[in-house]
Amino acid sequence: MNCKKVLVIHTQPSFNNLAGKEALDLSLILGSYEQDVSVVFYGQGVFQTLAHQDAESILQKDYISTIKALDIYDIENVYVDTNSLESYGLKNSERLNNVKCLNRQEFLSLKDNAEIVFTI
Amino acid sequence: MRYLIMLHGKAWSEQSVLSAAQFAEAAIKQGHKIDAIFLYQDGVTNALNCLDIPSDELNGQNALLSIHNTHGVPLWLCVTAGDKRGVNADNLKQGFKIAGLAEFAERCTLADKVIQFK
Repeated sequence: MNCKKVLVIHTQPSFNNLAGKEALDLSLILGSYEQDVSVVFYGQGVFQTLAHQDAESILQKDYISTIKALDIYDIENVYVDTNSLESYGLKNSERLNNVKCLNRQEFLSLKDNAEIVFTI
Repeated sequence: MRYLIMLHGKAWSEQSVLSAAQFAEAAIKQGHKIDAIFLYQDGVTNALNCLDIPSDELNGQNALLSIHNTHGVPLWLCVTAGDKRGVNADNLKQGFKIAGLAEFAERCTLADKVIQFK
């Protein structure tokens, strides 16, 4: 099977809608088909990377923990856009351990190198 | 070129559904192939058989079905996204087919370009 470089960009906040969950579902399936998947949290999507989110208190289910488990599915390239973090004053907030920081230049080259980009 | 389309726009109210259909039509006219149009997230609502859209209003579902009927482009929807939104085999418009993200992922490996409309 062809192995393609796939980039999945998360752009929505954690629990306004469940786009984050549906983006993860897509990444996990692509990962299980041995595609080279990278995940980036961008714009308001950076809120998904915050640690200790209490989904239950607003009657939601915690899908955020799936992000922590991405490396179990061999998705190790999980990033957050530093510029977006700065925009929302989140640069010093505690975030999920497996999410690495990416500057704008690195983000752009990741996008350039991808064969398929999904923005969700 | 082989294109694969992922459609996120909801039934009736979103331009992206019509844009996807227009793009598919134009691409086919130029000799390209549309492997499938895959409905994901709220896009699955385009497959409902109970949409009642006045004939003088824009109808994305008809536009999609016309691509399917004229050119044989498969119209797939994600089973999981569909089930959660009440779209299932019991209320599926003829022409649409329930598939899974797995089938979509497989098609991703074969297409030259994957394009989202949302």
